Amino acid sequence: MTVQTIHPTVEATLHRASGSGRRLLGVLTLSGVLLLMLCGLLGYRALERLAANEQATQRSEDVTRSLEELLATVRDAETGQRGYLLTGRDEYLQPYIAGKQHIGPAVERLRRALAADGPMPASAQAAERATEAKLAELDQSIALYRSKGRDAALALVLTGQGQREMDILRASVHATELVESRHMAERTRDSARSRRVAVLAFSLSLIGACVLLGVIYVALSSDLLRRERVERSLRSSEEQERLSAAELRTLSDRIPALLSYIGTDGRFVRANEVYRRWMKIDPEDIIGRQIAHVLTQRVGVAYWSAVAPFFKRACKGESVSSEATGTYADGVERTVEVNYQPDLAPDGQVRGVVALVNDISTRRHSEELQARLGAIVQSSSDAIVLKSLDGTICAWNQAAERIYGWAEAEAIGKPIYIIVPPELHKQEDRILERLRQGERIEQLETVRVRKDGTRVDMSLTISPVFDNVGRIIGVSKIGRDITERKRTEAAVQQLNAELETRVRERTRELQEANDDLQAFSYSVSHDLRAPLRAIQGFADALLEDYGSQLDETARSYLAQVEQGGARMTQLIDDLLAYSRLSRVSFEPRPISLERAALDARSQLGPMACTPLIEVGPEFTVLAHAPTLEQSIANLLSNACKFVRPDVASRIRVWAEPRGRCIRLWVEDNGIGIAPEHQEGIFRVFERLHGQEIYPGTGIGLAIVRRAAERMQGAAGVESELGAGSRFWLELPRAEPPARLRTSSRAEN
Amino acid sequence: MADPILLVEDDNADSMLIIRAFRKAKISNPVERVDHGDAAVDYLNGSREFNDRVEYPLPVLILLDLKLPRRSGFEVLAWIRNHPGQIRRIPVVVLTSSAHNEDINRAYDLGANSYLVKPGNPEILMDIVQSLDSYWLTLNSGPELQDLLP
Repeated sequence: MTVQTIHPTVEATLHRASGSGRRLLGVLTLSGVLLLMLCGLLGYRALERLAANEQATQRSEDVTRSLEELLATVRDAETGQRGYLLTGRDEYLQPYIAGKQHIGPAVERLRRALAADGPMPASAQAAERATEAKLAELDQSIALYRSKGRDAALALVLTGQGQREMDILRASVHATELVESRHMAERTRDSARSRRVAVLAFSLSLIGACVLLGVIYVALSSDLLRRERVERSLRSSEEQERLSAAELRTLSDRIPALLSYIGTDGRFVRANEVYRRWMKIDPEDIIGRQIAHVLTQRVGVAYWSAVAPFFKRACKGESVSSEATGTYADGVERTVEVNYQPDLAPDGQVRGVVALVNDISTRRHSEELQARLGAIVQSSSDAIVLKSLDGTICAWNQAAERIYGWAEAEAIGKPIYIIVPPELHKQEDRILERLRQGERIEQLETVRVRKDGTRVDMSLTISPVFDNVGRIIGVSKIGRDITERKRTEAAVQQLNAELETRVRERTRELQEANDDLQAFSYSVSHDLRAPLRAIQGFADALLEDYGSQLDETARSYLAQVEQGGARMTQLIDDLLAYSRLSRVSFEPRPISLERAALDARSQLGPMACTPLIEVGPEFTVLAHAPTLEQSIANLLSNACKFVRPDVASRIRVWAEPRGRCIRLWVEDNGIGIAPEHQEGIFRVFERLHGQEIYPGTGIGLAIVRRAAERMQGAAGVESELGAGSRFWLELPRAEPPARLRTSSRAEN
Repeated sequence: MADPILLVEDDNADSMLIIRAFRKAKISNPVERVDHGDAAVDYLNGSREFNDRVEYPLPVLILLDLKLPRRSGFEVLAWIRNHPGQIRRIPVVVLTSSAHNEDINRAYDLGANSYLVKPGNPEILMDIVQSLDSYWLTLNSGPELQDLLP
């Protein structure tokens, strides 16, 4: 249909376009022809005049020549006559006879020459008459000579008749010549004018012809081109018109979309091949079936209810399009764009509906993907900036707005240098160079400038952006504001420095405290002992040197002084031992527990008990030998001390593995310890009993616990009041057991 | 008269008890006591009030306390051992209340001949004095000390 309309439209356009041109062309041509005719006429007339003048001139020359000839002939005849008259000889008459013979034709020629110019001029007639008269006078004189002799003839000559006639002739010839020459001058002027006119006319007509030809050529050529175009389009329209129905079908089948024509009654009139692929239905079979039925069956009820309203609107003459999603009979879920185009009859009546259904799933999917990606980019807390290779900003997300202070609309199109500090412009160029070589730059810590000129610490990841064929078309920069991190780092650094200072200070304080403690223990061991020695020494000296002079009471007082001194000495020794446990650093070594227990028992000295050592030789612990021995000795002496008065002391020592440790047990059948006191006894100076019953400093068990702790172990007690106690000491097991060590003393 | 024993001890009580023990042990050597480090150096040097070698002859044994006013026992010991003359040969027994290993080691490092801890018990002091007598003053062969009289 569309094809058919092309031809008349073009033709009409052509007509419209050429109408005025043709009129103009006609007028131009006509005026040109008229002008040429006029020029030709003028030229012709001028040429004719020229030719006439030429002839007239010729004639004038003939007249003149004839006149000269006539005059010469007459003069010859006169010469002959005179010779004859002088000599009387006939041979002298020869010129006369010849002249007389020539005069007739000469007159005749003159007449002819003059005849063309109308009536013979008077002077010519006079010349003719004079000629005749002269001839007659000559004839008469000759005749007289012959008849009457010379004298008669001479008398005639002497009359002057002949001379007069000759003069008349000469005058007439001259007059005629004058007339002719005047005519000739006129004609010459006339000829010159005619020549000019002819030249002008011919030049004009030549130019006019050229111009006319040019105009005609231009007009004709443009007209021809237009005609050619029109003809071409006419030809192609004709070819298109010749597209067969089969080709149209192929065309419609090749469209990658559903294409169908549906009657207003909702029945398919035609459907393309795509129906077979999408809906698994033969396009031939679909013809005549209801669209509602086909779509419900082949796509789904929901799909039909989505598109049905649009179809109805199309049936009412509206051109509509909508989107719908459905799973087609081929199992593919498609998002489609449905176009319903009413087919209107010339009277506006809807004849049917053309349905075009495009699969836009991929497009929709990529749009969604793009939208999602866009959302990710926009919502990223990192500034994402895209710049072209010439450094112009092309993309700018919200985080970039927030971090750099430039709004998206402001930033796009501006050079990237708006956010690069001046001193880093060169670096920026170098980065671009590296990117061109395909490099990617990760976590570049650098500085950027905000809109307000303040600096911001950024960590940038810069990567090239490629197009489909792998050319770099831009650079993406993902930047993280690390100002806070930098600040935190600085704070952490400062905190660390402060901490270090504090640790140093604390260490110094500890060192000082330690030094103080050392000074204290030195002082205790030296200064406290000195007065003690004095007390004991002088009490002893007094008893020894002056005992005999003292009574019993005085001596018992002095004994008390000595005892007090002894107890205080013990106390100082224990305290010093305890404090040394805190000060001295141990280097634990593998020690045989059995060996240590035996050595400890030998330290006990004269006591009324013998602990039973049942520790096997397989137990080896990590410990400091003297400290371990001291601890075990303390436990043993403790067990020996708190015996029940009426019960024989029985002390047993054994060991058992306990996880990564080994536990040494010291069991007695002594007085036992009430549960509420079981923790307290391990503290310094905690004593449960009076000095008189169970003497002691109250430091022994504290030393045991402190020593155990210092050796990465522990100590404790299980006891029942009146039923004995089981003290334990736990120490790390030595790995591997040092079997070759036979003596722990040798270790030290 | 036997050569003296130089007791360098600042504590009067200790001095009295030590001198008593010497007396009770019937040791013939006289005990010359000075109560601070500088005095010990002066005595050994024969300077100041000790410039009479007849009255204050060089000791055959020095009993040196460590904790002393002015010059400490360690300094006195170091001075003795670094002395260019014969004084450096004199046996020095440290008799002090400190039982610290650090002190013991340091004393030996500086050239002490023996190290004794002052006992609390007077009987042990008696034993110590008797042992000193029998070992250092009787059994031991002391160095030759040529007294240079001023």
